[in-house]
Amino acid sequence: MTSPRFPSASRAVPPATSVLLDGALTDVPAGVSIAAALALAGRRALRTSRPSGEPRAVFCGMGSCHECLVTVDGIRGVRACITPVAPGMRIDTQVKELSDEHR
Amino acid sequence: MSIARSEWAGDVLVVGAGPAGLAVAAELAGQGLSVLLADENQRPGGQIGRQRFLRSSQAGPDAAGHHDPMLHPGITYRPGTVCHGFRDGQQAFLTTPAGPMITRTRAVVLATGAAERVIPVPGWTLPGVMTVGAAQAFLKGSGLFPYRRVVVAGTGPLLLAAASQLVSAGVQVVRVVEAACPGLSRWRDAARLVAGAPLLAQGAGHLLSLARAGVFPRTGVGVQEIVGEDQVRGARLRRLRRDWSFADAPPELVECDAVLLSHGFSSVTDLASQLGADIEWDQQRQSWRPVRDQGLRTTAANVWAVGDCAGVGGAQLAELEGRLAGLLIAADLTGRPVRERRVRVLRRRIARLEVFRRGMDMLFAPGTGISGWHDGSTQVCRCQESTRADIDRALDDGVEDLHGLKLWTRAGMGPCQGRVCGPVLTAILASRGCDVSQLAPPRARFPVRPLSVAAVCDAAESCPPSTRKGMP
Repeated sequence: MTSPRFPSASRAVPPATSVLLDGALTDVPAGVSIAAALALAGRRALRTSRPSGEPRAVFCGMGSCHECLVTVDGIRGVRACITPVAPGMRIDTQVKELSDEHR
Repeated sequence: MSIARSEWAGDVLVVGAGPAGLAVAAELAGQGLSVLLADENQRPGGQIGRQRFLRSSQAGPDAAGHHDPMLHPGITYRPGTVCHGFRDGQQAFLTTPAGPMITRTRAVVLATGAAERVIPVPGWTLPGVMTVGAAQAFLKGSGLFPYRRVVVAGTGPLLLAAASQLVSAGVQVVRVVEAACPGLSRWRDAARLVAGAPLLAQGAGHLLSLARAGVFPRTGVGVQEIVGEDQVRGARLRRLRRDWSFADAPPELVECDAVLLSHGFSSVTDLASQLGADIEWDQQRQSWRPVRDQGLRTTAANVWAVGDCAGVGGAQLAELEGRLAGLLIAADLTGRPVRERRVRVLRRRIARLEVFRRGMDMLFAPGTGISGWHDGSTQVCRCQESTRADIDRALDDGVEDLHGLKLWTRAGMGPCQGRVCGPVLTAILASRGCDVSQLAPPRARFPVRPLSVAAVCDAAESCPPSTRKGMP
């Protein structure tokens, strides 16, 4: 398992901000979308489909398809792709809930 | 947490702050009208101007030259704001980051843009499969792309642009495959229309930078299947015939961890439809769009539609339409005479761009073979997981339009409200001999975007009784 390293278009390192990602304190670049922050944290699937429970991730990236829904500060159905991270934000994905249930 | 509802009353509500919405808002405000400009994104500019959410002095070299457009003081700009629908052409229900908002305006301009069209293939719901635009959003919004080995597939000039952006971001682009392979005669017809356009030079530039990275795009090739268990492991690419059906040649399996797909764009017509405006099928663009008169006015009272949401034509055309509509609406609302000279100039420039558009649509129009791209178990509707077999069964049982398919198979009933599967369902109906121009258009109802019950309650609690009766 390699640690996630990403090709980057801009060389400058943006300021970081801390969010609570599925309960874990995580540093992410300030001002990026929740989707980008989750990707940077190495996360791919954000939710599972209904009824079959397939993993799903960002698809349209512009708020149209609703595949990237996450729970933010307790509010469900937030589109990760068009919502920016904010300091101290609590982001919960459905994927974690599911894997916990399966354990 | 109880959030009070807010109200906004003024001259014009503009929905969407892309090139069309910005232009119409600027024109209206410049003529002294009050404008509310509502947009789902955090920054103005639409998808084409998409960039990092926060203005940051440390954003580095890519920050140079990227500035939010200066908004006229007569514009009230509301980012992060969703328009869920209208009671009529004068009253709208929105949710802002601060809570629900009800607007009352003399006119409404829809500038909601377009959604990328993707033709489903087996495996297209796997994490790692996304639209080409989504990859660009990652790059533009955060300077990162979370995958390493990428296949870019579909049709249109966007493929080359995105592939070269990915290459310069350090992503390994393993294949770029364009489905279209226009014959000589079609090239000849199209070349007359697109000749001299600056986009051609741009395309050549992208090809060159891809070639430098050792990437040589192929035409007449499509994705037959995307393989992987819970994420993308590879893609099976296969030659296409002229009509985009798969040729007999054996497929090539390419290892990758992401597949970017794009098969053109469809106008987002949900708000126009919810408002009761007539929607028609645009054969050239293979998309639904609101019917408009010469003045870009829809058939719904007090409602105009500009830019890609009324027929995809790109940012430049969208901006010109926005300016034209702004001039005409301002004259309408103020009673001042129309500035005929400016209108004539704008109409001439719009006509030129439309000629170019015809050429592009001719080159990249999806072939009829796309109806064979999905197998029975391929999900056509990602939200409700309705498969191609479900759709076929419904059609065999006598369903004959989009509304019937929605009721029988739930396709189009999920949170995306058919924005993803609508174009595909229309193509399947067409492939079964249905005359799409005679089809009842997709109907959107309030709320066109998911709305929490809490938001409705917040709005209702603080509503005066007369409004409460009327608002959905």
